[in-house]
Amino acid sequence: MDVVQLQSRLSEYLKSLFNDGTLDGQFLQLQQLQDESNPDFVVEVVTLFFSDSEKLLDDLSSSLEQPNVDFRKVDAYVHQLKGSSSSIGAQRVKNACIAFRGLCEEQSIPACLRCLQLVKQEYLYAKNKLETLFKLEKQVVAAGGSIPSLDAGS
Amino acid sequence: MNEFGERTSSHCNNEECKITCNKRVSLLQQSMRSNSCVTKKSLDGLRILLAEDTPVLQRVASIMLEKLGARVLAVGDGLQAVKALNCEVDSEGTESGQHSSNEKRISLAKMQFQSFYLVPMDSQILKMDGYRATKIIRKSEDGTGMHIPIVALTAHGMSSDEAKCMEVGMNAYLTKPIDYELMVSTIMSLTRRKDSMDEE
Repeated sequence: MDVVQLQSRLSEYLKSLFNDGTLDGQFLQLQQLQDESNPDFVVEVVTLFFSDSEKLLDDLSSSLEQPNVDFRKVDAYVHQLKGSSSSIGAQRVKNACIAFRGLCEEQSIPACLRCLQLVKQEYLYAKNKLETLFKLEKQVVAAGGSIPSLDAGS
Repeated sequence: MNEFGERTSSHCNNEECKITCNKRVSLLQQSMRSNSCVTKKSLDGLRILLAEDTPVLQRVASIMLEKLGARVLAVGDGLQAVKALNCEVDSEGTESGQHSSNEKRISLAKMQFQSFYLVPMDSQILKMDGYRATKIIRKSEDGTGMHIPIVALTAHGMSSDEAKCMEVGMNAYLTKPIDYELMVSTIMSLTRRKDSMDEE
């Protein structure tokens, strides 16, 4: 596959992530911050998001397993996950967190556990998609091309 | 939203000032969009203290600001922010205010406010939240003539949050996820960076 084809495949893939709601415009803001002085900014921040999220998901699991669940703590963890997911444009993860926070207010452990599973699924889905995106970007760069930018308005 | 339908940052304590400042921010925002005047060095020379406990947000916000020429010191909570501004606090992080024999006071060490122009401060962070940290900072400014601009970064978009931010002495209010251009226009309006686009 030549560079142009690789770039086209990358663009189409990125568009699909917007179309299915995995990513929103905030991701494009991150891409716009990447330049020669911060060439790996997006990968760096998203990788930080992965490690941050995995810790938060572990903390959430532990919190909900406690004999006396502290819903304030659970809510605080979900709040952090919501914040970091929204800051990188992981829209579906963010939306799952919004739903989760509503359930924290109701203080229903079974509902929170179900929602936690949903958040985990959305996170793993987003992670998988983003890792694929970065692989495609590497292929473009390895073939001597540059990463095409997707207009925020498209 | 302000009267022009633009997303706005509220940063004044009275309505007249609010309208004037919102108009200024709005004009600046419009100019930025039409003329792309968010230049690479719009925030050149500004030193910004960023208090944010979520690593991802801290990194994103820092890069956003550094890209525009600001020097950013990032800390993880309000207590560190207050200490970075050289407001000494006791180990429990209590604020001055009510003086009783059982309460500890805040003693002021040297103040270096000229070093930090802006403090985006997350209102939800634990250990010492942005509201308390702001109260401490404002209290420590009493009688000095100093007034460091403080911007709240909050996940909520409710008017009650905004009112609370203004009440404790914050100057402006941004909701997450951070809109790059809005953050820059807010900072520039607070630090009174006038450029040819500002018609006020």
